[in-house]
Amino acid sequence: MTTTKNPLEHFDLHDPELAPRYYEVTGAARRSCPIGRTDASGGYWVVTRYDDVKTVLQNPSAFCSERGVGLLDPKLVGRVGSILETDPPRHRELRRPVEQHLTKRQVWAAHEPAVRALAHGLVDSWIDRGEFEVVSEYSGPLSAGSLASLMGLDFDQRRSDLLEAAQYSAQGTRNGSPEDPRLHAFVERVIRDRQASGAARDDVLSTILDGGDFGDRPLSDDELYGNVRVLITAGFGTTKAAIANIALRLTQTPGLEDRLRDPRWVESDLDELLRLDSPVTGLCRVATQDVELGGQVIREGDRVMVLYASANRDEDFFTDSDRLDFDRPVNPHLAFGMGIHRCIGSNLARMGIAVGYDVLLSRVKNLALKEGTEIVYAHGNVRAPLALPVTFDVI
Amino acid sequence: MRVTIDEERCQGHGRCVLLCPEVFDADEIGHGVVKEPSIGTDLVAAVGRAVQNCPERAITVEP
Repeated sequence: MTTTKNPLEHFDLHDPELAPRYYEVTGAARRSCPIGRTDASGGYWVVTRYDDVKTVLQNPSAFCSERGVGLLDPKLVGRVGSILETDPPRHRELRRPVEQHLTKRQVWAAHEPAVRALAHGLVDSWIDRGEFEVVSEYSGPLSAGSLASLMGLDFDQRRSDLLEAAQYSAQGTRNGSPEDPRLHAFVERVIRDRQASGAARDDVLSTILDGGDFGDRPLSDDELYGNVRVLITAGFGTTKAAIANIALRLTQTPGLEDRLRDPRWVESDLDELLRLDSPVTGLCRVATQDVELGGQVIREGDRVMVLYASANRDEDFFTDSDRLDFDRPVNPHLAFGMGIHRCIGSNLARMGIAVGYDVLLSRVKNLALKEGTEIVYAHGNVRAPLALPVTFDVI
Repeated sequence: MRVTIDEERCQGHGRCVLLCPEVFDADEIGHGVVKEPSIGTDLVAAVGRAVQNCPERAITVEP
């Protein structure tokens, strides 16, 4: 019997050195040791293949969320109770009232005009320069604006506040304070302002604060806080990353620009781009019982990290998985996760991406990475270039 | 051919609605519903794409 060295022995999602090698490391693991235990962050299991990731995500009774979906016990964070960190049956009670504000119809009707106007304003701010930095001058503010609109915040005043607060939420959670006081203060202020205004609006914030039917009991203070906070922590960095990842592909892929000028690109091409460059690298569950997974025995209480971006490159599931292939007939990708915790904001994300590129590519062409640029990737739960300076020609 | 969606499995990804709006629609919380359960041969390919691209494997087509 040969002993295979565990290539995931020191896997550390929060190691900056891993970010540029994420696909290389996880690809090697899928082929030799698809589920391995790392000694990072107190030890956790790393799940790299599509089928195993699916098994974990579709079995919330064996792999729960209420003990944290990051690498820290949420009790250490102090405030618990968001949709993301709740299990059935409470999960369904929390999710339903919020979900109705995030349907495709609802987000396009309620938020598309504001996001479109914002996108034009952002382009206006740098179009005369002939170059711009995608992350700080487009994808970041656009994602923040989309969230500000969703949350019904005073658009001009609060969008920059939200952008600032959301940046803090994107910090790694391996060491240091998991709850940045600035993000905490922002969320508290958003809640306080809406409550003080006394106006119940037909939006997600009012539903969370006082309007929703959340099953047998109203929201606890922690649930209330957690569900406002999670809109920002789950919604901001992900959409920002998706837009930036697509921009990088645009600079690398001849002909892609014209392809994205066809409005139908969001029906299927977008999903191939999200599969290949999934914003979310990995999130966790905790085993509620001893359970066998892919030949490994996971013990009750063990933390299990599922790697969405790795599953989306699984060569046993996606033919020629590292290649951008818009003619791929089968693409049930996991960029938005799966199972009961599937990204609740996916329609808002898709709208932000669609409108962002509709506006951008109607005004500029020939996007190219600025000469001499070396791409540095963010590390942690979300993977995307930290900065992306590009040049362009005005249409 | 008859198309059905397993409500327990569907999590509202919305891929079916994007890929085959002739047959699928979204309900008030964004979960998939079949508006044309009985489909002819002209829609078999499009529905097939929806079936194969549903991450939850929630769609079934029966003769």
